[in-house]
This record gives sequence, structure tokens and C-alpha cells, in this order.
Amino acid sequence: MKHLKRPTSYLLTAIFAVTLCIGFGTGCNAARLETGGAYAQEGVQADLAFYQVDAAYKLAYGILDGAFAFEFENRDSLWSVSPDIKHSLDQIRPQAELWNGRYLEARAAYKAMPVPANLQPMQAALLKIQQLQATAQTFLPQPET
Amino acid sequence: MTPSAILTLVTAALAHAPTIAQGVQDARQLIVALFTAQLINATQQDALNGFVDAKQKLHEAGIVPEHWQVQPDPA
Repeated sequence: MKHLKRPTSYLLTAIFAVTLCIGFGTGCNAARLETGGAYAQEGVQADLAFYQVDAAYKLAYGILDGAFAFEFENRDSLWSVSPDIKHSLDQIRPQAELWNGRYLEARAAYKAMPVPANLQPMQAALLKIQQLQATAQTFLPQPET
Repeated sequence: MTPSAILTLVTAALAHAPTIAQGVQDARQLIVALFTAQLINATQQDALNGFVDAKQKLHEAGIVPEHWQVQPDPA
């Protein structure tokens, strides 16, 4: 599984950078949004912060979803390796569902009233999802070094 | 761990390569958005918005993907 190591490191670096940027606001507002897109509609100020949070969500969700799917689709094989893989992910699954729901509900509230204060619950939920995603990855078979 | 079990796992990992590739692409786009002065075009914005909107609709409908659910242990 050596070919998996570099993409995994890239993803982890991206997630660390996102956490710094969105969690601590460390100067990450250089990109521009083309007018006419969903986050920069005509006549409305472009919302880069909203785009960034949603982009970070998509990345974290995708990795978490992939971890759950991998275990689900290979359950019998992974069970023969260790029952702890399923059991560990089963600890995360309800939390993932909870915080995913909170993110989406906060997002709906933000879309109804796009003020900075309403972005904070999204950011808080996102950080939880990222923590769960990082934890989930540790329970899967790791690539050989 | 038996050789056949190892082969099964490696095969499954390779089968998930598209997921990993998509994750790397998502990571690259996110890093562009956070740390460069590049323009994020309308198509990219709409794709992201569509993705998250779809998750929102599932959540509002109370639909949870099967692989996100806790299920009984294998027999």
C-alpha cells in the first residue's frame, strides 16, 4: 500500500492548514470568487469565508465518508484482522452523524442570515467533523512504510 | 493475517483509489482557496454549493447513508 502514503500525507497537511486558517484566521483571504457563482452572486458581496468553510467541510466529509465506506464494504475482511476496527468506527459514526447535522443546520441558518456571527457555529461543527475524520483514519489499516 | 486476507485488503484499497484521488483534488482546491490569489470560477463555486446542498437535503429528509449507521457485528 506504499502508493497510498503520499496522498494521505497531502490530505493531512491540507486539513492541518485548514484548521489553522479557519480556526485561527491566520491570513487566508487571498483567493477571489468570480461573480455569478453561488458564493459571489450579482449585486451581493462575495462571501469567501463561506466558500472556504464549505470547501473544508467537503474535504473532511469526503474523507470521513470514505473511511466509513471502506470499513462497510470490507467488513468481513477487516473483522478477521480485528473486530476493533468496526467497533472503533462505530464509536465515531453517531458523533459524525450528529456533527454533520449540526453543520448543515448552521449552514441553513447562515444562508437565511449571512452575518459573521452565524458563520461561527458552522466553523465549530466543522472542527468537530475534522477531529472525527482524523480519528477515523487511525483505525483503518495503515500503509506500509 | 493470511495471504488471501492481505490480498483482499490491498484490492479493496486500490478500489478506493478514486476516492483518494478525489480527496487529493478537493485538498488542492481548498489550498488554492485559502492560500493563493487565484480566481475561483463560478463553475467551481456552483459544484461545491451543489455538493453541500445535496447533503443538506438528505439531512432534512432524515436520510443517513447505510455505511454511516451502526450495524450488528458480523456473525
